[in-house]
Amino acid sequence: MIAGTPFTLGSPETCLGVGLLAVLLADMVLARTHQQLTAWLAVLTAAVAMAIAWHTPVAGLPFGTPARTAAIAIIGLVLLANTRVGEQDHGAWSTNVLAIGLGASLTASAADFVTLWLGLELMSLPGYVLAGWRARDRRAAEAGMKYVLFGGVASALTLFGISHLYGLTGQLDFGLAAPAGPLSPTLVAALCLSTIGLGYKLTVVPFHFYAPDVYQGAPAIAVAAVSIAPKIAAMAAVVRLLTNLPFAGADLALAGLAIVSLGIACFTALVQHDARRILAFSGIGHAGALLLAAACLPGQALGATLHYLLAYGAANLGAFVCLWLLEPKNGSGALADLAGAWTRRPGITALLSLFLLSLAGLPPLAGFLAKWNVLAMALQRDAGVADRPWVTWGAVALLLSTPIAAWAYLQILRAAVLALPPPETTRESRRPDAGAMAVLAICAAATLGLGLWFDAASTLDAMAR
Amino acid sequence: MAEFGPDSLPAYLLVAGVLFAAGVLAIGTRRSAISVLIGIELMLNAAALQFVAYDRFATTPGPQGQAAAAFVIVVAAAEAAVALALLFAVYKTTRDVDLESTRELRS
Repeated sequence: MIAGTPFTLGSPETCLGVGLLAVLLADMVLARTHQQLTAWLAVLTAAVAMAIAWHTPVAGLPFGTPARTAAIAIIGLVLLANTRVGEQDHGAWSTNVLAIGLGASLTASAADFVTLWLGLELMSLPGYVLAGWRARDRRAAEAGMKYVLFGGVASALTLFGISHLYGLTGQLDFGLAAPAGPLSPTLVAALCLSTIGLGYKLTVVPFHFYAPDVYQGAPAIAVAAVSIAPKIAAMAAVVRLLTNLPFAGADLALAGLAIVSLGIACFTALVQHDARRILAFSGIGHAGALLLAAACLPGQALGATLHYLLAYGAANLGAFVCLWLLEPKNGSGALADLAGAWTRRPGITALLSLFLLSLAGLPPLAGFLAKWNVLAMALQRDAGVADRPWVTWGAVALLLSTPIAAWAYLQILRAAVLALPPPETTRESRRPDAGAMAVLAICAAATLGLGLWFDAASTLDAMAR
Repeated sequence: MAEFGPDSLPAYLLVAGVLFAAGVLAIGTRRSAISVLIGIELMLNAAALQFVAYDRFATTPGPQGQAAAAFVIVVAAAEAAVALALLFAVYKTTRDVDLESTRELRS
């Protein structure tokens, strides 16, 4: 029996749950003139939960502590970026974003399959709501519907797999009572079904097909909320699953998924005409790289995975906030709509370039070092490391896909920087406020800092071990 | 477990399997989003039935399976509520919840 993390009064989940209810209550009782308080209350809740998460180790999984903290930090930054009350029903927005944080925290600390499923659902349900946030917008509604239907199928398949795992082993812990010897084929089949939910949250091929549509249709800031923190939390769950239930062929399965994800993502990104669709395929490719890092477990892979998650999270959050500020208010990420961004808002366009170049893997930014660490891990030939041909092929795929994916990012930059604005510039974009600028500053500092922190992998590995 | 009767594990698993297959069939063949939603609910309930069945016929029946089933019931209700709200939002904009004709988002 693996010791799960006890649900105590001092856990970040409690803090997020209480804060969430407080925001909901404040939204109902406060007068319209004081609604701004609910936005700050939500940011405060996330900040306190982050501090608690940092000081509360996840039982049995040192990797979970920084991952959980990072996921809650991302949620806090998303809340901080959008504190302007009045545009929409802000109390409901804050509640849903905090609920995603609660689900991410639960997922990252889950030690059994039902808690994992519950955490995934708790991240998904508010995500569906956020995706369809502008209910009168036809595209947002369609994004929400696709998200909830595909997500529901993934969730049902996951649960069906879990119920078989329970029947076959009488256990729900990740270790499944650690069956000696090779796993039986039925158990492997049930295990594959029960990990579909994780693949869905990580947007790994073949569970990725919803991502481009949802990213395109939902508001950019909502995409930042539903995509990054869940990915970090799901990665923590993957690491825990691999640590507690090591089975032969895990590296083959993970590297295989990584190769398919990297390959499909980089080529499909080339033919997109929407900045957010390109970022969706970028997320699929990065999920492949993360799985490649997980395929190298054990070793120093924990540090490399964590560094990759942080680098990806900072750059991706920054990119989505930039797009949210640059896009016209009624929200479309079409490349044509980005034309003239450089003349309208040069500062934010410059930051967008920074984040996109980091995602593309250009030195000296964080994305480069993150990719470098994963490649070094996958190509490692030490005495203690067994021969893993599939991981080597995964490294080759990562190496080959990087320049192709970089070309797709350059398409966004070309539209934002070089393309001339249309003559009738009546489109109104959001005015960046102090909160959004602070988020962009933090993301930019992290993108630069993580890129120059050369011994990040070994330092983070010591923390996550 | 050996014999197949009205009160045996295989009987429950058979019912769960039929429910699950019906759900998969609904998702695979129907064009209406409502039917897909019903299919999802059928699959979730098949899983819940398996949890309680496995729990009842386990050598050491514990609370785990029953607790899992209780969670499934609650989450399935929440999921149905969210999904119906989103389908309603789609219906308000397009007067239709046909999955084939709702195709505004594409590359």
